[in-house]
Amino acid sequence: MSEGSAAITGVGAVTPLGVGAETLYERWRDGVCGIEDGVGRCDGFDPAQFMSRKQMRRTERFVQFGVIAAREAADQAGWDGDEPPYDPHRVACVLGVSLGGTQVLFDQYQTLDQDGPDAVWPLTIPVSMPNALPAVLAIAHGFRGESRSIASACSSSAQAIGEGLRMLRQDEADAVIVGGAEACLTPFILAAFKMAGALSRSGQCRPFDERRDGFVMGEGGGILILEREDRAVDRGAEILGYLSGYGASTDGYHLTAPAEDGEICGHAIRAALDDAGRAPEDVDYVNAHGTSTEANDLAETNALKVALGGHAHEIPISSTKSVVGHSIGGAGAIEAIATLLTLRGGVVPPTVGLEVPGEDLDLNYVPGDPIPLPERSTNGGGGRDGRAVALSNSFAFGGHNAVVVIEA
Amino acid sequence: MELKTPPSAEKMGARILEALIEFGADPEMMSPEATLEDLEIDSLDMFELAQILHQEYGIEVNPDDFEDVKTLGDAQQVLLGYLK
Repeated sequence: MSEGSAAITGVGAVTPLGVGAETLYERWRDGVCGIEDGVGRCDGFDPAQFMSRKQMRRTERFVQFGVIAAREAADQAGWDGDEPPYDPHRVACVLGVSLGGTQVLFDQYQTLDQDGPDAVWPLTIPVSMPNALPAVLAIAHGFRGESRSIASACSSSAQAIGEGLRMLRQDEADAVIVGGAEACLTPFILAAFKMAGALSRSGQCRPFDERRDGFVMGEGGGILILEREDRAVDRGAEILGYLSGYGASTDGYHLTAPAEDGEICGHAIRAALDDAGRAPEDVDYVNAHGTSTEANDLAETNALKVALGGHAHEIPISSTKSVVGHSIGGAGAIEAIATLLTLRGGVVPPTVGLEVPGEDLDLNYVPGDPIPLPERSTNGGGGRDGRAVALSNSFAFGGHNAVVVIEA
Repeated sequence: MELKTPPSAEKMGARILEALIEFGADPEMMSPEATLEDLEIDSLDMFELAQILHQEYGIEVNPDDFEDVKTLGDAQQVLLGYLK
């Protein structure tokens, strides 16, 4: 049962499509792909445009993505001077990350090896620690409520979003900064994923296509400002949409592969809908985990059928990863933002690169051109006050499944 | 361990300023009266500076010596004191 929705008042993103949440949505909708040479790198990102030299020296790339995304989100939320409009002790922060500052760790391990322990950079730990982003954001934005990081691989930031919803429902905060970031396009991490058999051999990201052969690593970050609806209304904030439900489950099956039948992933989808107080027939759009691996895309298709029944065949399903790759701990947040903006924009961006669906993949994955949201959802959907309803799925190494329900 | 030749006070003073600027302090604000807080120099910067002085000159910096340090001039006085 629904215990109330969180108002989403601001979003921000840094992705291989550029800096900015609207940039992400508009460029994806227009079919622009940010993947080059087998990776989704944020090539245009220049932290010097946004940060002082001291801030840059003291932040790993994943933190820089999060800092810039948070500033965009706070600006959009109308947080004056980026400071929250609440008692700072009533503002919390939960962010997802999978690996953290891998580049600094790797560099400093080499320094240790070559020059000995006294040469190791004193800032190695504070810069590389997985919780560096919430720590830096607390300094930048002045909040003093609970803050932490969640590490559950590809579901990290989806779980962070879910945790933010819980905190608001339990009246532990008036606002929660949620999301996540990741930047691990280093030779070492790429090699490790490759040797685990996860990366695309062709370097092409083609979710749900018969030629799909693994995921393409990306990088980036996404931040959402969640607020208690009554407090957001009181201060006259523009509410962009609602986070109405969250559901999670764990495969308990394999360290990296999803269970093919989709039963457990489907349970997370149903739990999220139950939490939002919505029926399967209320769903207008699904932002898929859609990694382009053989196993995920089949398991996710089966999970949608398990959870939504015949309605899974009636709605558009598309993969943001088709244009930005897989940013691991940042993916769930980036995709939740893309989901929100899809509902607000009324146009479903396509799964770029999909031409011929693979065997047993028989849903509408939106190949080719963008399509309008189903007419019903723009003409009185199943969500709150006739709003459209969407799911954003995240399924992770480790079997961690997390699903958020967004209405706008 | 390799024995290092102590630098002149002038050379070490210049190296300290260079390091603090490299850490992000504003060069135009550098003066003996400037507080470390104004220069946004904190304990992490001092750990980095201590490492540089140790690596380059073999000087062992004791963090306890900085308890009463407020300004850049105070810090330089403590650090140059290690040369005596």
